[in-house]
Amino acid sequence: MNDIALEVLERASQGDTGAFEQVYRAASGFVYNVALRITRDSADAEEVAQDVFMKIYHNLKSFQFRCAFKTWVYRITVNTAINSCRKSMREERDRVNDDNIIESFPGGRSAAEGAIQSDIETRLNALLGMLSPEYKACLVLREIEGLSYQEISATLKIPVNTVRSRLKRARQALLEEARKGPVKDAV
Amino acid sequence: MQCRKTQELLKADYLDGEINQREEKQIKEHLARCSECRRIEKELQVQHMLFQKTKQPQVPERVWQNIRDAIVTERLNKESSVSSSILQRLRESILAPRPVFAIAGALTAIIFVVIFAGAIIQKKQSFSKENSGESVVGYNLNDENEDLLYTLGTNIEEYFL
Repeated sequence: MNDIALEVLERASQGDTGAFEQVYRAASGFVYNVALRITRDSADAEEVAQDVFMKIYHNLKSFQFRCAFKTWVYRITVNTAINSCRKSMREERDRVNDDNIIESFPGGRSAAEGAIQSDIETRLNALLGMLSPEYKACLVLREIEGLSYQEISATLKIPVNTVRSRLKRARQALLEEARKGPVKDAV
Repeated sequence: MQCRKTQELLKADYLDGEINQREEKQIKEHLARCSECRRIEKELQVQHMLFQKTKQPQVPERVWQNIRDAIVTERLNKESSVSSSILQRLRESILAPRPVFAIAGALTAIIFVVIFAGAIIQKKQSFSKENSGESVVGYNLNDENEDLLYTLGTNIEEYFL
């Protein structure tokens, strides 16, 4: 995420739309990408990005700069994306139940199958689809945004050791999934 | 260092560059003599590259347009709700059934009644004066104009006279 001048943040917090647009231009890339990796759906990611910036707009006035603005935006993004992901999973589960499909696919099996004919992007998304939103968030913050363990800990409000163990398990799960079949070719 | 410990560190601290120098050295020594751990390290590196290779998609411009529209709509709603609440408060303060207004209303009604009644009484008095004057001046004809008495016209006038 690009740095944002304090003066711009202050003007944005006072309702200056131009300044708020500057905030958006600086942070939207990160917000959208993280949302896209966690939700794995561009429409959901757009919705998450809109939600995130409306939350920022509403709460910027009360943001006391007790933590870095970046960390604050990371946290809002990850939480909103995780919630959206959970909601989609619930809806998908309900839909499957409604359709009376008896056969249930384990974890991301269907996602792994779908990865056969796809490019790196789809393969990566397929792999990420096998992880729970919390594990995905850790991995995305580390691999895509390059956050340190300390920064991930501050963003997700979890201990550094939890960050460490989530990353370990997430990578282990991806390795196992990649070894199973088609995704291996991609990796 | 054992394979298990090495693999644990490979999957987190080592890959992410969060490891101290001593452990890094131990891992490298282990990797030099363990093919299984080397294989895992390679797989992890490839996995890491997969993330790096993915391009960062551009945010569609409609996202900002939607946000801007939402902000404008919100502001308009806020402004209209503020003005309507001012009107509402004004109306309530005027129409509020307070004792002051009740007393003021009653006093006004009393004053009005008093003035109106006074005006009526005054009018009646002046009318009776006029009538008495008329009788003195106009109709005190008595003997001198007796004929005129019969020339006045209507029965009503005759009745009053």
